[in-house]
Amino acid sequence: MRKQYSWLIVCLLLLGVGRLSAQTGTEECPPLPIGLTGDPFTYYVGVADAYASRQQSSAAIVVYTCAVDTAPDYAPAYARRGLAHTALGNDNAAVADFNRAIELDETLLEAYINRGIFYTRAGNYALAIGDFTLAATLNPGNTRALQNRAMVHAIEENFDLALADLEQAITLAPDDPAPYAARAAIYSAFALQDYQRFLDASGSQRARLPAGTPSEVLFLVDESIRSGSVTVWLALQRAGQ
Amino acid sequence: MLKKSLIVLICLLVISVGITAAQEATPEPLPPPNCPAFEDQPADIRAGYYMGEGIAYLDTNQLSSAELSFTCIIRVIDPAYYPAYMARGLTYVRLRDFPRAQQDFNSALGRQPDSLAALNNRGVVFALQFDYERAAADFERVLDLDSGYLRAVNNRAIIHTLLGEYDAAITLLEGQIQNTGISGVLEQYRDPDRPADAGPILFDPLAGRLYALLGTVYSARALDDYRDYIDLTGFAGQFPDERITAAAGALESRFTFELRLDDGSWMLLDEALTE
Repeated sequence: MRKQYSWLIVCLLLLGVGRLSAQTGTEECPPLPIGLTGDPFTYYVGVADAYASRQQSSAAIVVYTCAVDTAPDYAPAYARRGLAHTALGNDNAAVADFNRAIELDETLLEAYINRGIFYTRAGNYALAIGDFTLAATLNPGNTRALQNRAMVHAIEENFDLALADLEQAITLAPDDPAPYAARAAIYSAFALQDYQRFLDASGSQRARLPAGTPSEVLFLVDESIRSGSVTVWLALQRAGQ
Repeated sequence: MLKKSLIVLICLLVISVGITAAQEATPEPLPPPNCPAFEDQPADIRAGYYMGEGIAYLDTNQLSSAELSFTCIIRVIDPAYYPAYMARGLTYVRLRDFPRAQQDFNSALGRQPDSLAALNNRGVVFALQFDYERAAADFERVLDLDSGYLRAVNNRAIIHTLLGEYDAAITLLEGQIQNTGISGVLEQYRDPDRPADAGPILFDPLAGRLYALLGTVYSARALDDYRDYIDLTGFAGQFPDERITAAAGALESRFTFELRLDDGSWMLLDEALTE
């Protein structure tokens, strides 16, 4: 009976190994395009970038690997594969890739930015801020480094610092839409802080806000801007005594 | 004085109509896209990157992004790069932007006049715009260059059928069934002495499809014949045989839905962008 069980376990193990190898066995490089005259590594980078931009991280990793196998000294492929590993939670592989990218090119901006993202996700905010600061120093016009650092400040509830970074990003690139969305989020954080101050000063955490809940106020402000309705602002005016 | 004013007014009208027409005829070309990847590298390296990006987008049905990638090659990197026109043409077909697709296959043919894929795909685009004459001309040219190119055989047979040229379609398909040897494969499968454990005989699925298309052509001809019978009895004030009207109705339904030949779904594009 015991022997039968051990056979069963062996069979299950073999099945598991078989499935695992089948999963990894599909990791083939994509076929090359007809008429390609240049080095295939840029083709692989293009394919992988497209996958990565659609959050298809596993596929991106496979194709970035094709790129680094073809051009082992091309640092950005490691930096990007590292980010794909980050998305999948492959921490060791991610760190190894970021370090390899920086080893190959210590001025590679995207390596620091992507490693900063990794550190942010890992909760290591000091290292994340360090990487984003280094990236911003390497290229003072890089708004991504500033925006990413702002988000780390926001996580740490340093909203003033976050706002300062985003203001700088917007000044540097007023046509870049992303920092505006991030700044709006920071303003929301300020708003929530003020609502909390209102509750604290009112002496009750259940005190009624003068113009409604924060969500209602946001809706009414939107309506005011779009249709000219002044309801929200009237609700916030105070009587003479 | 009144006459002069009238002439001036007419002149102004003519000029304004002319300006409007000129504006409509020559739309402002869009500015070239921003294509920063490998900016300091030679054109073939950069083209490789954007082909990769575009093909991956195309494979995942991100058609606008794919269009942008291929446009980077065409507008910014290397306007002579034939594969980019083919790839963008296919993207436009999927977007059902047939005039642009036609333009890209024209450009591809400008660079490789004997490209079977470009000719075939342009033929499909003509067919999708109901220009069967030019579609047929393109498929004929492909078959002149390579009579065994089965996509064009399929497409030419469909055009014949759409034009009611059933005999021509049947001749073409039966000829290809012989040439491809697919009938031999069928014979082998049907051989009663064939061992039960014999492995599958591999064949080109496009060759196998010739039989299906042949059946469709015969069905289309059958429908035409049924219609002739129904018309004939109708003209004579007689009631047609109900079994035939039922059969005609069933076929009519098939050719409105599953076997609809004029919606392009039975046409075969050459979508091979990779080796």
